[in-house]
Amino acid sequence: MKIGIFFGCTTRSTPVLFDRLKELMDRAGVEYSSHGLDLCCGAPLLLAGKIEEAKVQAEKVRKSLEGVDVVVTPCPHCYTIIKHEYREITGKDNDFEVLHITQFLKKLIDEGKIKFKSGFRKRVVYHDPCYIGRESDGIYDEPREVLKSIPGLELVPLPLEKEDATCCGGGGFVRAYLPRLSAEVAKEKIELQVLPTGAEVLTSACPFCYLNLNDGSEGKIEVEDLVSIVLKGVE
Amino acid sequence: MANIHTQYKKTIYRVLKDPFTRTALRRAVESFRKNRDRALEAFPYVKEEAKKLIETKNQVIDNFDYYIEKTMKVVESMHAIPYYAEDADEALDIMKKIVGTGKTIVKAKSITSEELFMNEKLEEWGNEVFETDLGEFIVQLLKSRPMHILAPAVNIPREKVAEIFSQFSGEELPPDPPRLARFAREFLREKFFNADIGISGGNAITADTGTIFLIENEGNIRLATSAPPVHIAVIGIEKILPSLKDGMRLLEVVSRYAGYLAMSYVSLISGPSKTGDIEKVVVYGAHGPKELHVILLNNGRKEAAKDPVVKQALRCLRCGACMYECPVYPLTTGYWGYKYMGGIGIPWTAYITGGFEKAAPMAFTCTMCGRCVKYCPMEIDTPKITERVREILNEKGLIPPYIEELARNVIEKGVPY
Ligand code: SF4
Ligand code: SF4
Repeated sequence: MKIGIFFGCTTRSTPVLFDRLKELMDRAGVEYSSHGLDLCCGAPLLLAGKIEEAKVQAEKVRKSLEGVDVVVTPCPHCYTIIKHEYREITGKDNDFEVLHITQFLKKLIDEGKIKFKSGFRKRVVYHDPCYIGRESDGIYDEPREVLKSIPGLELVPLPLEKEDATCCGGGGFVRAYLPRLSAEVAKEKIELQVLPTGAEVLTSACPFCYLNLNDGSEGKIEVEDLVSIVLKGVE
Repeated sequence: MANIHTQYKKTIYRVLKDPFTRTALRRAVESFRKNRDRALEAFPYVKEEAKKLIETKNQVIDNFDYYIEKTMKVVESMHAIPYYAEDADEALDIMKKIVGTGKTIVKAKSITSEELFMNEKLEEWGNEVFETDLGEFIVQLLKSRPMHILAPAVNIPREKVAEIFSQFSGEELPPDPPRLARFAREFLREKFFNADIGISGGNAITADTGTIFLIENEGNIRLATSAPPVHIAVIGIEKILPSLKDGMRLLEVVSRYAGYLAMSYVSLISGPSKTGDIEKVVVYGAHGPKELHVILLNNGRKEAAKDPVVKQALRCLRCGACMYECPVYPLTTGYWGYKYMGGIGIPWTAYITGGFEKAAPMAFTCTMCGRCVKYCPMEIDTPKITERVREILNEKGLIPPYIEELARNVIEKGVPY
């Protein structure tokens, strides 16, 4: 079974996310081919209403993934677009499977390929990204199970979570159009929902959420991507 | 075009810094959620009722011409005067003929009238207009515009209200909500009874009985539509419901989803006031209005109904649930909007009032998170509609420049950045 990692533009251009994902895959001994480094999934085209151009992009991406059986991506937007929207806009199915990184990590942990050493001794809240959650396949359990399997980590629930979670403010290209508004939405969520839980770390599994929550945190809480936390637990 | 976006950005960023708006909206969201949950818990069958109402609304939206004709006929048979207005200009022409000049007019809150810029026009024609909903009255004195569909003055602190009321009355009024409400009550009371005309919208109008539904808590709509000798109701064609029974269903759904166990006042108006008590001779205008004019307004609704994705927006009941559940709206309030606001305001601005140019910045303020969909009694998929509106914005060359640039990069270089 050939695995391809579709990094996506935002992960690729955010070194902490990019480097740690590669490192974690190496530690787990995953063999994979790299994709989505110089070829975007097409999200900006769909978000800018350019359906025809997005179709062309979809075909290019599919071609770049030829021979891959399982596409793993850390980006919920890439995940939903490749997995679901490609079919909607092109009318054709993919000939590969698509997994979000949290689903893949869960598998690697279950198979014993990821083993925790130091663990992560902190109280953590998990923010559900809309595009693996309510607006997509409702991937709520895997990220939580991955986090809970890390020794020492205490997962604290949020008052509004899973399909009731509130957006970080970064989606829909709002972060590109009104960056300060996006950051403010994140800040509001952190102040009203996250800080009262008393958690030390806020995590999520989306590069946009990561960047946006970071902007909104204003140093009041540590923001770490889920992959980074897993990596720390392994080290 | 770049200018629209720069201006919009400035406005939104300014609102973000307003601590009062933030606190007020935090409070409003919290109490809204509590009330709504309580109302839905107490009346659990309302969720099913909402589903039935979706079907009914769809039926009307798919057969506008049939229902308009039916409603016009029945309204006429009830001795009220029906009109159909193709667009805002036609509606205003009709209004001008009915109202004329030199009149005193009391108004009940209605976004449909905002759509027509009605107050400005009525004043331009030489009439005196009073908004009678307390929030709208405040907004009118401030010469601002409503910032929420249910709570128009949601972003105005009591000190500010005291200041403008004091200025207006020449009397020093304290920033005390009961005292301020009493001032408005006393001032407006006399207006209700001396007004020549009352103008309202309508939450619904039924095609079998021609009954206008007006749902409220303050009691001002009831007064504005019964005290003056003439009542004009301006109602969007999407408010038509096939039957009185459907109206009852709508009443329950809209109240519960707006967080009320019951609304204080519900007026059902079918025709002008009449009596036959003197020798069975029918006389119009017994205690209520002698004349009832009903203007059914299209103004882009039929056009919106043609788009398979956008048309669901016409089901909107204006319960406000989506705005309180949206992560963005409580921060921006109605500045994310034109006449219609928030995510659901995007298609309404594009098709009904404002046009696609005004809808462009709004469409890029929705994060497409889908939280509103979960809470909308009419299951309106705002992110899907936003996607569709963006498609049309693209066809019209109205995508904001920076977003366009990112998309161009993908086309030319494969990646946006
Ligand atoms: S879109 Fe739905 S939730 Fe929002 S006001 Fe309309 S009916 Fe209510
Ligand atoms: S999809 Fe848009 S309108 Fe709906 S809750 Fe999210 S940001 Fe608000």
